[in-house]
Formats: sequence, structure tokens, C-alpha cells
Amino acid sequence: MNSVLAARGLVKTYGDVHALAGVDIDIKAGDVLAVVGPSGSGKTTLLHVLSGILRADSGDVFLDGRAIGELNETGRSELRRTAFGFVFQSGMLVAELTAEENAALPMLLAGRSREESLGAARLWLARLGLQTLEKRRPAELSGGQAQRVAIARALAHRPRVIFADEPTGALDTRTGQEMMSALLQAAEETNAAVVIVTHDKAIADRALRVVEIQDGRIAPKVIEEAVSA
Amino acid sequence: MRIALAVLRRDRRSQVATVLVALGVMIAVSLVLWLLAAPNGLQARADRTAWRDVLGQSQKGPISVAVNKDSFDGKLIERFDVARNQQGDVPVAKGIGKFPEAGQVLLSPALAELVRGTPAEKLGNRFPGTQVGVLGPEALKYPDELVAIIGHDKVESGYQAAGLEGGSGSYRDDYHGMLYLLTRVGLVVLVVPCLVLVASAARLTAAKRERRLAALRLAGASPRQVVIMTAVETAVGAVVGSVLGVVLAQPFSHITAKIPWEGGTWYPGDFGASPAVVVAVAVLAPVLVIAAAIMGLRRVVNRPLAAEEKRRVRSWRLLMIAGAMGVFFLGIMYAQEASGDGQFTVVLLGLGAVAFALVLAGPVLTAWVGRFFVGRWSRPSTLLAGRRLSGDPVAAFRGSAGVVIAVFTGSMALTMLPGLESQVPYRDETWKTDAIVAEDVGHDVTSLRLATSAPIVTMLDGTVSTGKENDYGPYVIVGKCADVSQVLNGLTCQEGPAVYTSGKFNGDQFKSNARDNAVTAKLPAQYETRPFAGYGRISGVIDPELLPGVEGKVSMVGVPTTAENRDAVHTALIGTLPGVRLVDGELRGLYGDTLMDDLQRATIIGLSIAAVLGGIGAAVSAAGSVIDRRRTFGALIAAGTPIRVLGHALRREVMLPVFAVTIAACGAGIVVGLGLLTLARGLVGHGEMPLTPWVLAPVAVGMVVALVAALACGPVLRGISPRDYAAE
Repeated sequence: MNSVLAARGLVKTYGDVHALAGVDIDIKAGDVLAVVGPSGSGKTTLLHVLSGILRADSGDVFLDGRAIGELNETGRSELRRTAFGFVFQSGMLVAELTAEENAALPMLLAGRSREESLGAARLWLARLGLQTLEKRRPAELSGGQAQRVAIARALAHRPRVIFADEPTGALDTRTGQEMMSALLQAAEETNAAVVIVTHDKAIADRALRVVEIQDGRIAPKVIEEAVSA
Repeated sequence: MRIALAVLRRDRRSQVATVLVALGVMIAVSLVLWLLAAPNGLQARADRTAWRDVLGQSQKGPISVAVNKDSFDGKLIERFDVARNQQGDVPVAKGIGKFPEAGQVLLSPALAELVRGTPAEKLGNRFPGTQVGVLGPEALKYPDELVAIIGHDKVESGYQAAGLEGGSGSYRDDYHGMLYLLTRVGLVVLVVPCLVLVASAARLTAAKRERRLAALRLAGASPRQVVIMTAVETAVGAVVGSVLGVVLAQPFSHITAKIPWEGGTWYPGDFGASPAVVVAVAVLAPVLVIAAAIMGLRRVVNRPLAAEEKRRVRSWRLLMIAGAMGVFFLGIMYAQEASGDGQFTVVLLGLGAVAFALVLAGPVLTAWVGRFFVGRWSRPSTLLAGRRLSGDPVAAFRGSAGVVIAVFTGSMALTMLPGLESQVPYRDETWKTDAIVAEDVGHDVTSLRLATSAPIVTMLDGTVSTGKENDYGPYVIVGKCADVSQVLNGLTCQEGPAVYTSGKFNGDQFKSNARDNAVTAKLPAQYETRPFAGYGRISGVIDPELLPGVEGKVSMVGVPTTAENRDAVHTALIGTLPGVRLVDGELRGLYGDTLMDDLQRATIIGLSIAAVLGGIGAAVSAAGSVIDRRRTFGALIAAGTPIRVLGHALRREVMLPVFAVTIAACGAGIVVGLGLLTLARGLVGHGEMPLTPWVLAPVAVGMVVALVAALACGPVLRGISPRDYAAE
């Protein structure tokens, strides 16, 4: 099976600091990859480079075999909007929008109609058990509910890859596990690959594969086929 | 306090906010000081020219003074013909070296220079005698003012005075108190946007600060500690801004001194605010900013968990506009009846109240606009803007408040200006524009006939009444129609003696207007009446043959002129009939035009300041709102949202409330403008109240200003990195 997303020889430096020092990685459709490592090891930089938020100094990222480093900022924005989905710590929902509008936002930004976008958003919110909360604002939701809305937002436009940056960082253990279950189940339904950056071992354990970043490199000991839930 | 200072040292966004607070306060302080000093400029002029207020000073004084206005080459000349009535010292004001005896002349430096460079028959001969000195700046209204004090043996038609000093030194009653009213109106409508700017600066990045302080409250900080932290954080920028504002006010006052008013610029010291005012503004501005910041923290202090909740606005705020309008119109009614220093107080309070009511009611209209677009959006930028407007209308409107006040001010000014133009009393079209008429003539005109070859029209002015007490009757001219028609508008002559009048006289008793030695005569029982189409002060012209006993009597002299001989005739009239009052079309137009130019210039400057203040306030608020939502915008950009979509949303956020509220502000401005015009008309005694489509122009200008201000958040938005979602 070919990789949906592949990285070859990624190098990224900030001054004298080598955030990434030659990273190779392959992610297949339906894959769930956890990136772990100590603070400052380069795991968030890896997520940013893989998702096209940052350009690598050298090396490149390939989506379905196409180098995304060749794209300009507009092209990479479009890629993130259409092919990728994002789940951030604390949801990072737009405070003024309702749950359904937040979930519909990527589709609206991609030019899809109001009815189509809101319809798909409501469907995903219902799948995630939020059908009664679709008119609520983020401030009126619990942390776990807000993260589920963020998952609906990340998945509603059926992305190829979902990037999750410390998605359970602001949640308690139980809510975090529930949120992970929801994310993995939803991703499985759409056959989307999931890349999770976390420092929580319990969350990493839910991934199919775990890579550890140390000093900008993938650590020699790579835990393949981790225990899945 | 240590935490607050540590935040300022380390957090770049807090540093940016502090700089913006300092800039906002600096601009507001320097502008408020300038505004408060503006009436001082008028007062300084009034103080320097107090010596000219000689009318009615004394019934029997040691000198006689005839005060007249003259003009040359489009410039106004203030002329004082003086004569000693008795021996002894004559007190003179500062700037006047000595009292000019007969044959002596004092000129202002600018007039002395003009006389030197102009042929004597055109100008110099108007001031017969030897120049014995120049007037100092202490006696002049403005640096290039043209003033002459001419000494004579005797002054016809002069007023008795104790000396060339004293006087009220007040501009309060100048131009029927209208200028006093307009300066106060300008003060009120410009102070409000200054306060709005200060409040906007105080609320910069408030959302971020609220979150941080809410976290500190939840961690156990007491309300007092939170308030102190906010006060310290805000005070740093506010105090620095206030000091800079005071410093900036100095060069600002020098620039203001270059702006002409009543025909001339100012002395640099005219616009100095008193030390007490400077200290009061410098202290009050930071206090207001800190108070605004602390007031904004009420929710965090009282309910830390509610920091993210949005405030609701109640529709009853709209009633405040009606209430403020009520106060304003009560003030108008009071001002029409009252007099003295408190005459306009209620009007001005009402005006300020209307401006503040618009600012308070703005969020209600903003929420309505937001809800309208939330129900009808088709593009994500409209949804984002609509939700922002309906979800937090107070924050969304904050940036627009200054623009709204600018539109209110603009509509008010444009409503008033055409009306004020019709109220300029010196636009008297009684006489033909090429005619120069000397009034209050008690002189022998032989010397005038010798001095000029131009035709001389002699007339006698007076009234025709029933002769009963308190019946003053219409104002008429006695003179030969064929002669008078050379200088008077609306007269078409026919052969034979007649009365030319627009309406029949009630009485038949003529009495001349001469202050001394008035003559009386009676019209015959039967006389021919012919139409008179004049539309000035004069109601009729009577042939002297119909009034036996007035032949040869002269109180007015008119001379039709050409472009070539105009200055020479003017000079001959003034030189041979010292102390007379000249009514000259050029002079009338000059005075009226100067006043209208001044009002238009003041309006343009005032509106420009209001628009700039509004624009700065809107830009600062828009930029602050982007900084407040930096993480959310960072996450949206990371998720692929094009910056242009966010830019559209932000522009709509600024533009939509401006559009909605400026229409209301324009309406309020028109109503208030008409109220002020009614008051001004009452003060002046006449005038029209035309309403032109231009009163709507401020709405369009307000939209443009808001758009430019909204564009200012573009660089801030572009400065946001998609990685900022993780920053805090």
C-alpha cells in the first residue's frame, strides 16, 4: 500500500537549533501515528512541516507522491484546507460561531454552499453525540464537547490526513480517552490517516504506530504496531 | 504589581498594547489641550484689542473717537479717527506709544509697509498727517493686522471716550454671541471622539488581559490584586502618553497659530493653555484610561468564570438618544430666552449627551445588524462578521464610535453652514456693488468735490412716521432719484418729484437720522408714489422737493466708482470726510466672505480632526481585536483559511456597524444642526434654514474612513503565523 504522506530527509533549523535533523517517515491511509518525545525535541515542528504550515530547509513532504514543498503559501493553504484536518489543544474553535458553524467552516472556506456545509457538519456532530448542542457557542460547551466539535470540524470535509497537536492536553484523563476514541473511530470511518503529537503515553498507546523524536531525529527505537485500544 | 511589570517586560503583545495605549493617550491629550486653548486664542485677541471698545464708555470724555472699517486690495483696515476734547494726559493701552495729536498718525507695522509701497492717492492720503510711530503687537489682533489711529483737531460723528484703553476685552458678544456658541460646540463635539479614542486605547487587548486575570483570580488572586495589576499595566502606557501629549501640544499650538481667523493669523502665545488646565488634563487622561480599564474588568473581578461570556446589550439604550435630544432642545429653548455665561450651558450639555447617547446606543444597532447578517449569510466572511457583531456588539462597536461621532459632527456642520451663510449680516445689498457710500456725514463736502472728479451724490437719511411716540417708521433716503439711482439698487426713475417706495407710508413726518441737529419736515397731503424694488435696509426714496426745509442738508454721500478710480475715490472720501463710516460693497463682501471662509475652514479642520480621530480609534480597535484573537486566527490560518477571507471578515466587522450607526448619527446630526441653526438665527435675528443633500456626505466619508481604518488591521493579520495557535 502506497503512502498517503511521506517525508524524506526533513531538516529544519532555528538559528543554531536543529529542530529536525533528517527525518524520514511514511504514513498510509488509515494509519494512526503518534509522535512522542520530550519538550523541545522537534515533534510539533515535525507536525508543522508535515502539514505544510512550515517549509523544511531541506528535504520534502509528499502527499500522494506530490511534493508539497513546491507549492507556494496559497497552494499550501488550499492543501491544508482540503486535504488535511486539524485538531488543536483546547479545540481553538471560533468563539463567536456555533458548534455547527465551527464544524462547517472548512467546507465553507472551500467554497461549498451554506446548506451543504451545515448539513455535513450536523451529520458529523450527530455521529459524535453532539446533535443537541449544535447551536451552542464554544463558551457554552465543556472541554470534551469542544474537542468533539473540533474533531467534527477536522473530519467534515473528509480530509486525507488529520493532524492533532496535543489534542487532549487540556482535558482530564477520562475525557481525553473518550475524545481519542471518538477521533480514531471517526478517522477509521473515513479511512483518514491520523498524526498525533502528544507527550501523554496513554494517548500514544492508542496509536497504531509510535515514533519518538529526540534532538530532531527519529529515535532508533521505533515502536511499531503499538497496542491499539 | 511585580507580576504586571514582569508581564510588560516579557510579553511582546503587552508591550505593543502599551505602546498603542501611549500613542492613543498622547494624541488625545495634545488634542484636548489644543481644544481647550482655542477659546484662549480668541480671548487673547480680545484682551489686546480691548482699547477699541470705546463705544458708550463715557458720555463726556477727554477724546472723541470715530471707529470705522476700511479696506484696501481685499484686506480689512481698522481705522480710528481721534481728536482731543480737552487738555491733559490721555491714557493709552500697551502697544500704543502715545495718543496722536492732530496731524499725527500711528500705523500698524503691516499697514505702514503697505502705505510705503502704494501711491499716496490710493492709500496713504487716507491717513493724513505724519506717522509718529507704529503700533506694537500688544495693541494688535494679529501680526499682519492693518490698523491706523489718525489724530485730528475735531472728529465729526465720533464717540466720547476716556482714552484709548480699557474696554470689556471679551469676545463673548462678538457677532451676537454666535462665535462663542460655535467654539463651544466645536469643543464638545471634538472632546467626545478624544474620549472615545482614550477608551479604545484602554480596552486594547482587553480580552487577552481578561483571560490572564481570570486565571489569576481562579488561582486565588484577590479582586484588589487584580485591579492593581490592571492599573499598573495600563498606567505605564497612559502616563507616558500623557507626558508626550503635553510635550506635543506645544508645537501643535504653533501650527494652530498659522491658521487664519478674521483675516489674520495668531501670535504663537495665543494658544497657550493655563498651567492648571495642562496639569488637570495631564492627570485626568491617565486616570480616565485606568478607570476605563478597571471598569472593563468588573466581570473578571466579580465572576472570573465568565471571562469568555459575551455581554448582552439592552434595546432601552436607544431611548437615551431621545432623552439626550430632549435635553438638547430644552437647552435651545432656554438659550433663546436667557443671556449671560450660562446661556448655552444646557445646549452644550445636551449636545454632549446626544454624542454620548449615540456611542451608548451604537452596540444595540450593531447587534441588530449582526443578527440580520447571521440570518442571511452566504459567505464565511459574512458569517464570521455577523456572529462577531451579534455576539459581542459592545466590543465590535467600540472601534466605530469615533467614526460615528465624526459623522454626527459632519452632518451637524453641513446642516448649519448654508444657514449660517444666509445669516451673515454684512451681506447687505442695499447699495450697488461699485458704489461707496459715506454715512454719518456732518462735513462740508466741498473738499471732496475738489479731491475727485467722480460724481458725488448727496443724500439725507431718516425715517417717515406718524410722529407719535414709539413710532419710528420706515428708513428712507431723501435725494434726487436720478442721482440716488447711481448708487442705490432697485430704483427706476421717472420725471417729476415723487416718493419711490415698496409700500405706502403710514405717516407723513420725516425726521433725519443725524445725531446732532436732526431736521424734520412734513410730506404734502398729496404726492405721487412710484414703485421701489430695493431689498436692503432702505424702504423708500423721497424727492427733496416734497420735503421743504431739507434742501442742502446732507448726512450721506455716495460715489459711483470704476475699477480704475475706486481706490482714489475711497481715499478721497476718507481723507476729506474724516470719521465717516464707509459702506463699501468690497468691504461688506470682504467681511462676510472672511467670516464664511473662517467658518468653513474651522469646519473642515474640525471635521478632519474628528475623522482622523475616528479613523485612528477604529484602526486601534481593529488592530487590538486581531491581537486579542491571535490564537484563533492562527489556528484558522493553520487549518488553511486564506488570510484574505479573514481580512474580508474583519473589514465587514468594522464597516457594517459604521454603516448602520452612521445613518442614525447622520439623522441626529441633522436634527441637532437644525436646532443650533434655529438658535443662531434667534441670536442674529434673521436667516434661512436650507437643507442640502450634502448633509448625507459624512455617511460616505465615514464609510471610507472606516474602510481605511479596517485596512490597518491587514498588517497585523499578516503578522500572524499559523503557528501562533500554540502561543500564549
